[in-house]
Amino acid sequence: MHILLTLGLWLALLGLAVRWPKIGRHRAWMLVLLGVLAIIGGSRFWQGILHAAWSGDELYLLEPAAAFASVWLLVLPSLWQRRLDRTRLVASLFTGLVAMAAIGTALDLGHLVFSRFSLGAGSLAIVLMISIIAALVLTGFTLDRWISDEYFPWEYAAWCAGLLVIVQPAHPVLLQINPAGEHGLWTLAVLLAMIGCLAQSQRSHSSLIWIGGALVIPVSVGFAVGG
Amino acid sequence: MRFTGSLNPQQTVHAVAAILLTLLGGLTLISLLRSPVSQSSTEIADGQEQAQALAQWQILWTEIAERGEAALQPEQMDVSLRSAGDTVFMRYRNLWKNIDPAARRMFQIAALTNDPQQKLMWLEPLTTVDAPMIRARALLEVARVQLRRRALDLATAAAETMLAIPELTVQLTADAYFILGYAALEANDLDRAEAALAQAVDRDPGFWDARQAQLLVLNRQLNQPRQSVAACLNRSRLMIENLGALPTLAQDRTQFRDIADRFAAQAAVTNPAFRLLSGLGYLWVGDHDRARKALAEARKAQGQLPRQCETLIAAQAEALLQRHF
Repeated sequence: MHILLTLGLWLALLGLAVRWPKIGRHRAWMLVLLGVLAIIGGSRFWQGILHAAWSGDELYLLEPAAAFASVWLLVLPSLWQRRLDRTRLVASLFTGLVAMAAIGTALDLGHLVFSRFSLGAGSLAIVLMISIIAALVLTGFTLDRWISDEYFPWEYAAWCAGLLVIVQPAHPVLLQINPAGEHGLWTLAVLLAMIGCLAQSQRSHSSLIWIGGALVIPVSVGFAVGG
Repeated sequence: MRFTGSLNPQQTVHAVAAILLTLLGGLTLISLLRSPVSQSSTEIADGQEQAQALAQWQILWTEIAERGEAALQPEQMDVSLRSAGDTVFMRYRNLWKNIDPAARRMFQIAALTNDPQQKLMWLEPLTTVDAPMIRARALLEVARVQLRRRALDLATAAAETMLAIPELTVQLTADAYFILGYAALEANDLDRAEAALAQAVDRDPGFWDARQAQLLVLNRQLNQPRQSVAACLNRSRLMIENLGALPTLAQDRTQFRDIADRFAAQAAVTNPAFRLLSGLGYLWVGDHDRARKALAEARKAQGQLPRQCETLIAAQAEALLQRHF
């Protein structure tokens, strides 16, 4: 039931972004912050991670070093542009929270669906799980654009790719497609392509085609890798 | 917002996101209305164990891919560690700094005595003293002497009594689990040996003797005809972890070759796990010809292990061949 509430919360945030697209950066930040913190706090996946870390149980996560490519992508543009101010850092962490909420919801939903349907480890399982992840990454992207609409969202792609690499042991489909393979570079490339398509959809007259591309890329690559 | 009949790009992406979320909501509702996939409690436990084993297997290979054999080297925090070949339960010298001089003298006399009965006679009074550290060490020494006399039950009993002492350091309990594991191995009770030695290595990853014994037990266990996928994966993973850890503890890289040779020499047993292990050993010691041969053999499923386990081993052997050759 908590997943329905979580999806309702995502829809509510989306509704706010549609109703008041120019609400002002600080108000948008505040609303999104409250929303994603509630989503992360209610996520069974993130609750499990927190509980394991607290009680000293084994964490079924890859160590953050596995996502080094994403970390470099987070740091390098700032170094290149010589912008390492506090605002930039806070904005990046904020983007990370949105990505955490999206991945947490996707994993919760994935676990629910896989516990109710006998999907095994076949192609259907891969397509379904990646579609769920892609849908929530797209939703997170729309909120990220609402709060920071001035530059290409490298950070969002890097955060999502890095998180997918780290949480790989959390779901059988992720284990099967191995996002951490090739040092996580292919995952990062797919996420960059997806977010690139979404960013392009915001400037193009053929938005739907670009959005369709953004959804097809991860599903087809995931299918090719693990199917 | 004014509805104009067509959506701007921003509204389009919002609309698509809303549609996708609604679809996910529908999927959630359908899932909630269905009862969980019917599985017996044993199947669920097996499934969870297998998922856990698979996750740990994946983590191991990701770490090896990123850091090579260095990923398997245990951290040694205590500089007083004498790792390789020490069997007198004085591996951690710092643990015994503040020992009572009279007790120390009795331990020394017992250590210098050749006759096992005499040793036990000197140690016996120390097994009942109040100081837990002295009592624990005396019980461990008694267990070790009984093990040498092949009095396996007495050795096990002494180690179990020692484990019942509260507030012992982790390294000391590792020693007791090692005794339990070794006694079980001598008694050919491989399951009990495997469990006890896993505890010993968990508690003290720098315990060279425990890792050697564990390698031996896992070797025999992997040759058993019937085992679950999870057990096969866990055993293969632990053997690889020991392969990576032992040379560091012994400070001797030729151990890679020794272990690789040992498993490659089991020619009668066409076990892909052993082939993978020897391939890795040869690879890390720089013998690429033998590594290639062993890894190529590891790719062939022989029906020796559960099918899924053999497939995963073969996939890793293939990945290593592609990466290094």
